[in-house]
Amino acid sequence: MLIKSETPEPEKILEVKDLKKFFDIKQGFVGLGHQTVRAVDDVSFFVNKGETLGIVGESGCGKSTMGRSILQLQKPTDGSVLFEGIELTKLKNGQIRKLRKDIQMVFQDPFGSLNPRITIGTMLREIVNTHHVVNKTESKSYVEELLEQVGLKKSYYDRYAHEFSGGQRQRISIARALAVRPKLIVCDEAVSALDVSVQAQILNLLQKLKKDYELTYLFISHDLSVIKHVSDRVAVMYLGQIVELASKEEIFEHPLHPYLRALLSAIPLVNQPKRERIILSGEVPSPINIPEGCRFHTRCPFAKDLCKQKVPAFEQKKDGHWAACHFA
Amino acid sequence: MNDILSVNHLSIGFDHSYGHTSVIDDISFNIEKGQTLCIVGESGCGKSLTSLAVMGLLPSGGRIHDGQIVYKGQDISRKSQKELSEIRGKEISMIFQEPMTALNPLHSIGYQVSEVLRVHQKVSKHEAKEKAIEMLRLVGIPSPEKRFAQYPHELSGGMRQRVMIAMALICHPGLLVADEPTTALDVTIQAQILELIQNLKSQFDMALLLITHDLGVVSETADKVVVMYAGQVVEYGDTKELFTEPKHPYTKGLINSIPKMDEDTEVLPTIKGSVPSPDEMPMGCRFVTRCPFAMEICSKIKPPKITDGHEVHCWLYSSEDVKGENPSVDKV
Repeated sequence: MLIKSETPEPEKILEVKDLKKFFDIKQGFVGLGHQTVRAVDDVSFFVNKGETLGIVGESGCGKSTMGRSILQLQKPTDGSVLFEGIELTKLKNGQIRKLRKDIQMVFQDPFGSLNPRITIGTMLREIVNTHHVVNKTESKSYVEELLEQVGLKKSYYDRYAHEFSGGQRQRISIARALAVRPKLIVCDEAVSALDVSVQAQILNLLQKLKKDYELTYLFISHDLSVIKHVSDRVAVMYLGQIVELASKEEIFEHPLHPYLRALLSAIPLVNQPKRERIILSGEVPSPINIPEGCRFHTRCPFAKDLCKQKVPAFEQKKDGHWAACHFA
Repeated sequence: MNDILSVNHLSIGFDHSYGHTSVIDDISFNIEKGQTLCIVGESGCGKSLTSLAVMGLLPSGGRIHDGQIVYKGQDISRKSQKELSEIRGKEISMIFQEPMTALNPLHSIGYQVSEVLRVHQKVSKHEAKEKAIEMLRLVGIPSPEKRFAQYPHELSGGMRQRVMIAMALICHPGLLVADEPTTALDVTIQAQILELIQNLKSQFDMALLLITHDLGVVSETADKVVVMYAGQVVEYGDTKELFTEPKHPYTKGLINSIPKMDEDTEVLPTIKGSVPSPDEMPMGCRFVTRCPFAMEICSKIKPPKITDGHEVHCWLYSSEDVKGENPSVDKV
């Protein structure tokens, strides 16, 4: 059965604890100038079954690396990733491959992530057969049904990826993720490469599929308005860490961290009177040399001496509203 | 006549071995001194091509086959490349989306910024360097004396865009053409760059032709806006008016399909389908295949230009009795 009965109380489908992903770079004479990029630096959160957790942050904040580390596409340096109680970081490659049936990913670039040499029907059928989703004899009709589910025509079965527009390709990527009937889909900037009118179509499709298939999304994006539209809860990342996390209503109405407040004030909006803008000075520091104390203090307009010395704890400031700031 | 740039009935097409494809079809707009005009539209609507035509930089095969581009009273659309190179960089400058590909990786940024001056103003090397450092300071590059000798790869995306702006503005042009200047940047950096462009614009009394797909950026920076769809202008006018009272079904659809920060909607309004390819453009209105209000006439005859407050190209607003039926416009 594709559709399961509803669960009454929230059940954690994914739990990430103290996740770290570092990359070593060797520089200089025989790698003596050794440096470490702290891409994801101690991140903890959970995702409830059936909800959408939005992860928002600017380029280089580690949000994509985090997504990949959760799927074990890149082995985390440290920490644990529990999916339905199973510790993914300890699994062997073969075991992970089986679990990938439950966790799927949709990528940003629909041009780079589809095989140009086989028809989309062949591609989808291969996935269905590999994972034994349905009987081999039924796989063609299953794939055709899948294409209709994502708003494409059955007759597209025999076409190649290059024959489709960006929006249609993204529908195919979604069909591919959906083909194995996953429980969790990680969407990494899934609508960022699309024009707004097409973006709206894909967002609506994702919402519809979520209901139809009882999916859970981890939705990674840099676009706050998209995050606000799709998410139930939102986590804001800055330089490898989560700096704020709360329900969508709470976080957008009462943002606590100066970084989120600056982000919100910086988005240009249609038909809005000019708002007071918090313009952040400078740029995101390199994840090789993370500032002492609060890692946001170099750009924070409200930074005090304390911020330069002491790392703020990521703590619950209000019911269900977490933030890492001394003065929030 | 305060117009610094006026584009009149411009049509651009591409010639190829099997015929001719019309890409830009009869577009007109004008920019006054010191004004900001935005061209907004989705990928493939011809907004970038329009900006390249203004610069005289159409890609090979592209040809202006009708219309004029008038800059300060003279038609620049028929000028030779040699004549244009006198204007480019000095009178009209351009900045691009990707500062990394627009800058030369083999020369220091100081060399590239001062080169513009040495070419156009015949100043000494020393004087050019001084002015270049001054300009780099003006665009907010910290310690420009030190940065002068650095190469593009040593700078971040935001800094590179600042260098591009310094290069574009060092000769104090009358018009800056900016093609998606902040699209590759993060929102916080985008805010910095947009503010910088606005400040320099008033400081230099310069007009700005801004090409973007981001309606939010348009709404906050433009005096006037041109909405393009598939190579045609669908709506054109004062920004505030156009955004508070959009008329064309495409403009309305576009504004509605952005997820809003101040309201919650379960299902986003969408525009069905996608942009037709240049080879299968419908006759008449090019939006007809996606328009929820399409009438019979729309697929046959190109919509008239109707000016009521601002300009809209749509049969819905025609006073002619179109086939006897008068669809309710308010429902759009």
